[in-house]
Amino acid sequence: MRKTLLVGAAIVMIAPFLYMVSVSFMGESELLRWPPPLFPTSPTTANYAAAIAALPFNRVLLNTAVLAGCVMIGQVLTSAAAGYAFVRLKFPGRDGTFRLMTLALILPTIFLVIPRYLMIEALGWIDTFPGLISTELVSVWGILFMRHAFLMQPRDIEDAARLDGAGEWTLFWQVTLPLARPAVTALAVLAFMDQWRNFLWPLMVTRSARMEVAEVALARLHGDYAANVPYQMAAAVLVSLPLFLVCLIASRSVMAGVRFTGADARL
Amino acid sequence: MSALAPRAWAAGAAGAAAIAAALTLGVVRVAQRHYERAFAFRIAHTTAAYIATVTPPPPPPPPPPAPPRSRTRGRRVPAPLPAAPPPTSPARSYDLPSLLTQAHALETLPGWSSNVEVYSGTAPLVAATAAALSPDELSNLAATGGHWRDGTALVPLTDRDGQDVVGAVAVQPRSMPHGPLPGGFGFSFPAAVIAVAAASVIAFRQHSLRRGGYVGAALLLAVASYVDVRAAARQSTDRWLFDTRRLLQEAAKRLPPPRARNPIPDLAGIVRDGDIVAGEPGESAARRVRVDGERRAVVAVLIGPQRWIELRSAPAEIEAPRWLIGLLPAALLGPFAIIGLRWAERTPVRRRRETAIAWGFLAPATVHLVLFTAGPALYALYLATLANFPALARDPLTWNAFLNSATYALYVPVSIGLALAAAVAIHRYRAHWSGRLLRAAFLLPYVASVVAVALLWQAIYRAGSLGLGRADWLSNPRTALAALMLMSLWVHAGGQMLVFLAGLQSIPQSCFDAARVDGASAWQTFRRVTLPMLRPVTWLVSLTGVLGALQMFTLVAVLTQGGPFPLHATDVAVHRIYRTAVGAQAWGMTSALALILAVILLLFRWPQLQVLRREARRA
Repeated sequence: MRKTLLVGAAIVMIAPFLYMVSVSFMGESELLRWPPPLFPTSPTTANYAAAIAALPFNRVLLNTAVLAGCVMIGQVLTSAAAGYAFVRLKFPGRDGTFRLMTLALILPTIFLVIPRYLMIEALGWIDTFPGLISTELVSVWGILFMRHAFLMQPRDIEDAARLDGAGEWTLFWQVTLPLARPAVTALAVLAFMDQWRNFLWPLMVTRSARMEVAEVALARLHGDYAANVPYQMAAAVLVSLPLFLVCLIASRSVMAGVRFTGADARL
Repeated sequence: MSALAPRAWAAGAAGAAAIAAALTLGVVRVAQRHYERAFAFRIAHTTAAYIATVTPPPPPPPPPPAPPRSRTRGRRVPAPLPAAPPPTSPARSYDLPSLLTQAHALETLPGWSSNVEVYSGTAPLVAATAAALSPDELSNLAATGGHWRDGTALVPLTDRDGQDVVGAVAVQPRSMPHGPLPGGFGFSFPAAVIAVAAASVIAFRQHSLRRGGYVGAALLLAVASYVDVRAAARQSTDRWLFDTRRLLQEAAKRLPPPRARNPIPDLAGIVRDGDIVAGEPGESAARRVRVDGERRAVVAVLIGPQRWIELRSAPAEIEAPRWLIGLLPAALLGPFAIIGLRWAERTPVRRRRETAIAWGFLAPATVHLVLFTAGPALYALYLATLANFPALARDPLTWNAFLNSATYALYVPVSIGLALAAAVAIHRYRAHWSGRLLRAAFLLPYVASVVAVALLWQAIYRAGSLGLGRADWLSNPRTALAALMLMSLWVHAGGQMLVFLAGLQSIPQSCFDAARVDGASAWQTFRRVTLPMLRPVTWLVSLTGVLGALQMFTLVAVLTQGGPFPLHATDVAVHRIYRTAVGAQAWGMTSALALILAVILLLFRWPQLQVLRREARRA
């Protein structure tokens, strides 16, 4: 009985997505009927073909992948390196620097967006990949996350390697980082998904259709085809698909990341 | 203390102080040149406008022997022959003899602080033997609006209609003393000498940094150099005011009688980047006053018997604080270098190595945070000047936006309740497939594309309202915000559920067992065991939830753009900031708004970081 309740709740939560998929296969006129149909009477894939052409899907996929991929690599490397220095090395100014970095979290994105935009504009990077990517390459959350992960990690193996004469560089690459693989994966997945859904910054710094990323292209398509809901739904499915795939493959990592930040996300 | 100073260290410290002082003086010099150039360009433009106002058109020409040239309009390059008349229609060009007279009059103008040259076409008029402009240079002027050459500001002289470039005006500011000290030095030079001397004393006598007073000397250097830069800025405005006053007095004399009766419109045409108003008798010195809440530099100008006007301009020193961005780091480089050197001198090699390695690891993140976070944050603070806040407070849209954001955040308690209930259910049935299904179902909306979610819900609202024959929820000002809240509830419950789930998993099973032994019911266990154990997690989720809700942007940007209008029913804070930035490009306003939001968010961010820190320590 209770288990049925659980399944019912699950269906209620998923229902909007099912509706999205269902509508994406409908013809444009089908939605005008009353009561609104839940399932397509004559399923068609024409919406997908149209949405792929209108986004354009290949270009958008490439742009978003470049953005998310570069940011993912950048955030993982800088966060892991900084976390390693904070946890495994002793140096003057360590605690002060860490506290200052944590302090950067109090600056909300919107407060930084305007001066960053003016800066990117002055550099002549508007509507280019450097402008899109450069500001996102370091994440304070990522640094906190990796520091926490290294703190949890026993240092016996490292100390043994250190006694054997391994340098810090070797230790970092060959001992600490492989040992922290779950955390690294979690951060990578989180950074990737976060950038896939990045909207405000790309909206500010990109101008041309050539540079559009997923969310911006989807929002533009919403404006261009305001009346054609099945088109929009097909495009929405296409843009969401990579996210669901990543989540399916790396659900454990996604959950670890979400838990650490207390479900801090941009919306 | 050992008598032998480690020479290398001491020399390094003194050298670092000297480099820091030289850098600071360099910034001051750059700023002074910047303001001198700004003055030169400004007075050159004013002079060009003056010439255009006072020089009459040539007398009607005798009928030409050949068919006249067709009129050319637009930006035409004058003929490259030096003395040839420019190919403009006669009424718009200048009478050459009068132009010659005016140009010579400028040179002998008493009290002027610059050398001036006027070109008709490419030919110099004041010093007739001077080098002519090249035709290329003249055509470049038309395109760029002026450029700098060998200490001279060269700006185009247009015809009477301001259409074609018929010549040029060159102004070479005579060098003026940059400071009140003998030799024209400012305060920064002696301050730099003092700073280097103080550093040398510390370095070679082995004093501690506190005793030597070098930090104080370096700060003094920063302050002194800023005073010099500000003085240069002030001087550039004052010089322009004084020289323009002379031009206005000359212009008032040379205006033809009918226009001389009410000269202010003509004179205002000369001063395009300042204001001219009727004035009262005043001193000859320039003053700083407030006009309508804005700082202005003013001088009184006597343009005839008992006739005074007032010349006003924006004072350049308002912008002077931005030079601090260069001055402060340059001046403080010395103390930092000395601290570093002294530390290195006293530290064993092993520790020094470890420190170097650590900073190597930290360098990418630190440099990026300084460049792309700290720098922009300071810049935003600088942009958000105090003057913007009263205007924002008067704007009802500001209040509306923050009120909307606060209302919108009310979905957070609901989603937290939902998330908690789901987490408890999932935790209990975590081994069963139905529990896993529910977990996946909650997570899916949370990881989905936000814009896709927005489009999806709009489709649902539309389908629901279609048969009712009325506007859907998102188009109805009463329900639009609630419709957005429902979407966010659906999205965010999943993430919050995950955090609760992790919290539940960290409660030791023995607690539940003990409750069961004591005969507690399921509800009692939840009230007395689960909830108290989850308190820190609940705090974290609530604070994070409110932080996210107050920063919501995407849904509004995609679906409503702040509407339905004219009520701005869903115009939330971040969207208002975005609109101010993109629509009006009012960066100061935008930054001020963002600063207000940042302060409000801080009320939630600070406790959130405390909770996180406590959790991290406990783990």
